[in-house]
Amino acid sequence: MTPSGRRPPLVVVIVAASAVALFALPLAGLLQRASWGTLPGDLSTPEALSALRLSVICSLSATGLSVMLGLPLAWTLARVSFPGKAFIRALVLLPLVLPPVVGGVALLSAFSKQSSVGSLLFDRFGIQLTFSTAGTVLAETFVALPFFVITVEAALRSMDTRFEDVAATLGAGSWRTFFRVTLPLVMPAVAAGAVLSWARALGEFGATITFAGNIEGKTQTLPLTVYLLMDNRPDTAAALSLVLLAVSLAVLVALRDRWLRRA
Amino acid sequence: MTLEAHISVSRGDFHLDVRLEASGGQVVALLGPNGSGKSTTLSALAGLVPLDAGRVSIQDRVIEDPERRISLTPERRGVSLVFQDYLLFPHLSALDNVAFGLRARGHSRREARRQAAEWLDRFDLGPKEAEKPRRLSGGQAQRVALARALATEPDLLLLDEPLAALDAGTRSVVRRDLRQILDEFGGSTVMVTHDPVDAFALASQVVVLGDGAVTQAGPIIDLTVRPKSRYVADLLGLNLLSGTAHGHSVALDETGATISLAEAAEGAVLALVHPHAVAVYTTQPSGSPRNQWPARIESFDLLGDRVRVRTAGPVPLVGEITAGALADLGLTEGQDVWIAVKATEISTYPR
Repeated sequence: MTPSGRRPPLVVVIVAASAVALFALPLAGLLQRASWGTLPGDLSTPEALSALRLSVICSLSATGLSVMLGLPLAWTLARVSFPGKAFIRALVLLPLVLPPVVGGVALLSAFSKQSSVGSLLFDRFGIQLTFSTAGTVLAETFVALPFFVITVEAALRSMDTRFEDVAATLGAGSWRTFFRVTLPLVMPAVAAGAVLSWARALGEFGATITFAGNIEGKTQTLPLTVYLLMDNRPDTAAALSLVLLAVSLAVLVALRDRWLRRA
Repeated sequence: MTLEAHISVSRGDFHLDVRLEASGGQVVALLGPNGSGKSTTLSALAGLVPLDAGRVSIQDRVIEDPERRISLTPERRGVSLVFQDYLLFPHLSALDNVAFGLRARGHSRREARRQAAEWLDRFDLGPKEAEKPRRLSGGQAQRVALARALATEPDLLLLDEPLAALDAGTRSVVRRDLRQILDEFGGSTVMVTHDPVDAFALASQVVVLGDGAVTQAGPIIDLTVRPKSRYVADLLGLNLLSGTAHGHSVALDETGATISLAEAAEGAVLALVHPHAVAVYTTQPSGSPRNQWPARIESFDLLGDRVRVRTAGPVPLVGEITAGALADLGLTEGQDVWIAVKATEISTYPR
């Protein structure tokens, strides 16, 4: 029944149901495909364990970087007016729509040892980003940061800035006002943005494999391992996929208040 | 702590140019219709809106002077602002809200909380110190906001419609408390209000704004005796007519009708007539009063057992009669009547 009490058109219902099937069938397939009996064994193979460990380290590092870089950036975009702001915002949001593999190629062009920045980093500081764990973190940050920035910037824009005015009249400088008033008020958005960017970093594939390569124990994260194992050890691949699915479900539950409240 | 302010701010088509003065301990009420610049004036005093011209000083301390490129940031002015909706920090307890400014002014956490607890006790809010703002009633939230503003010992306190967010029941109690708090506060206070009752109860001086400029300034008692604008007269329910006086008569600007005065006057004047001095007749009154005009009844307003009769005519006046008289005369809206005012009941003063 629609709010007006009329019966919804049958065609619409059928098409909508097919759309639901598009989401549900692959999920059911994955659950059916998984060999539950050997799951613990599949997950404790050396490749799986190493990929799990690396994924956790890299995705959390990328999340940390996103928060550290994203907070000042979101605040600047929300509070400061400067020429070229629209351009900067478009630049920040680009990785959201850019094919990740293109991001990987772009990172490679900028930071490989052959490029000017990359050669400078390597010659002066001995830092090599390509084919290293640091490169994996950088690639994951590249795709995850926009999620954090848009979430937090929206919250900063919609908050009542008179709270900041009150803090100022009470004698608080901009640092105190930010950490004691602004940040606590947008904390739910900061948490949501961090969870979103973490989920994005964890699933990152294209930019990582292009920029950081596929080296076990160094750059081979969960999604890369799943892709690699599909050919000769599909059971382990399915088991690892289940882990990623479980993480996604957990994220959905964690953010239910933001996304599912209208349901 | 004497406040001397000349505030000039332009925003698009709106120009604000206001002079304000308040000596130590004085409460100045800022009255005016919506959009007249009251809130902008407060924001400018607090340093949240920059002056285009003018000067603001407290005692001998210049806090803003665009010509000399002086502009203290809000946190260094010693000016506290209490917003109409109080804006208590929702994530902090009542105690930490009050302690916030003390912490910002360099007190240790322990000392800030000790002083904050004292302020809450003084405002009878001791038992509420651990509560989050959403669990406080309107009156309690207002007192926490006042405690937070006063705890930093400001030289100037700014109140934006301090009683507007309260329901009628708690209003009078909170007004009385606020009166006591302001009496004990040593600095100057500037209070924006819409309500003449609040202004009379709390302020000694008044500044009336209209369209960005001061239309009246002085002791609050002058409002009732010599209102200078239609806005104030309407607020207080008085008849205010403007005209040009010559000897014992005034020609009204709007209709050209003439009214007679008991005392002679010259030039551009305002004439004040209290509604209870306006008599209403169904037929033209015989006898002496020379101030009588035909009129048509526009509307009635009930005020307790009295009725305000709004009329239109050569001299548009509001009269006040008893509900009994209304019934006896059988008056209805749209009816043609006569109104009369004794010359001795009309006071005039220069515009």
